[in-house]
Amino acid sequence: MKVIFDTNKLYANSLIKDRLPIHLAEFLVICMERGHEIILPLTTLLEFNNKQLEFANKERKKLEDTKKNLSIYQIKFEDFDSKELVKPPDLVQLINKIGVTCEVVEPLKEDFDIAHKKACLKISPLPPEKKSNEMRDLVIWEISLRVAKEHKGAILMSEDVVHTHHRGDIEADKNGLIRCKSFERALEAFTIETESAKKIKSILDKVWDRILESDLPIRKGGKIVSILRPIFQNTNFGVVVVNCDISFITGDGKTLLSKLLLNYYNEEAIEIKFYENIIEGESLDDTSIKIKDQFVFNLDLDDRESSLRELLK
Amino acid sequence: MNLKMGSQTFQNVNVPLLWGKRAVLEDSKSRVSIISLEREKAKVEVLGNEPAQGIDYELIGNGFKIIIDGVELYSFDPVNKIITGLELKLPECQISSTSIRVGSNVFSGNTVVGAGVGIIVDENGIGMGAPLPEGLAKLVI
Repeated sequence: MKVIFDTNKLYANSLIKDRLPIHLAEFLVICMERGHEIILPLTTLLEFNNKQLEFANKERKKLEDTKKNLSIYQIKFEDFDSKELVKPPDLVQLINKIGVTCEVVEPLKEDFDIAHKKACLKISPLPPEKKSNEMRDLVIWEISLRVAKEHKGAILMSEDVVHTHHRGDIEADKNGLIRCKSFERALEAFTIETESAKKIKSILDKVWDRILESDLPIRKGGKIVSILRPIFQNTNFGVVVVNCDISFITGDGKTLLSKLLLNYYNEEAIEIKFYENIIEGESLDDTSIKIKDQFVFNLDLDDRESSLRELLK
Repeated sequence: MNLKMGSQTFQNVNVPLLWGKRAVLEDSKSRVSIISLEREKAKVEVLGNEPAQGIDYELIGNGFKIIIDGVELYSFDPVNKIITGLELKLPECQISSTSIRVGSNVFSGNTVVGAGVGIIVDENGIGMGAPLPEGLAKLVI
């Protein structure tokens, strides 16, 4: 999966020298181990570089001041060039050094055009209360949507309100973009890529309208964001029972945590139960959705069983 | 039991392939079953290339992981017929039409007659034609 970074998730409060901040480096190691790739919108990189140049200039000034003081007191020292000694980091090189692939994506004219229109008309994802029209955020937003669409899914790491506001839910969902404010949340979102999660999600996607019609507080634009600890069990007659923890964004800016009990046969849901539902710290009643009667018969199971019994005769 | 599996011929053996405390069998349609013999009664964990009824499992890229009492014991790849130990520290085992591979050892075209176990695999090594270890459940379902 492509993991796109906004500048706020690359923030460091001092000059980065030969290594990235530990929390970021640890996250990138996990990305490398799981085969995820990093995308830096050029907008992010420019802003990061600018901030780091500020830090570098402060360090350089300290060295120059020291040089002046030493000269005033006629203390001998070997001359140095502070610009040569203190250089801002090469972010792409530092990310690559960890072993994870990193690509810088430049905005296209189309990205600028759409961002410009959204800024002028103050439409989604801009929250209505946002005072300044942040073109920069909107350009990163457009790049993220484009990358997610091209690669059938991506994660945007950002804390910015423009990127995380629920007004962006429908657009993000349409393009397969998952927004993560924290590294922990991104690690959960990676679970959506496992074989078990893909199976569960594909079965639930087929009955998504029924889930939206149910008592669960999920509306259009809501989506599954993580599937954890899935356990499958085959039963007689070929029905498979799955238990797992599941979380959703609800389409109105909230996160719903649930436990899922799913019965399915031949990739089709039979019955779904969401229990221990928690939204914004409050518990909700269990929700059961019956999709179809589950009386089916699996001849293949009989065949496999009789073949084994034949061997053991 | 008389059985041909992975080009080996097992005649009058109790368990053709014993992987740790699990019997591995291949039926006439080349589907693999794995039966645990470590408790009082034999328990089928993999039935004809698929997780048996009532057994917890998780899907992985090339098959599934068998989970017993919350522990991921081993995985099975039904396409390549590979059993890989997870919590079980046993050598990988593969059954193909021409051989049985255990770790880097390949058995091909052997005949085992009148033994408790045809091929035995445990943490200490691999053997052919061994007596049935004590304390295992009887291989009946």
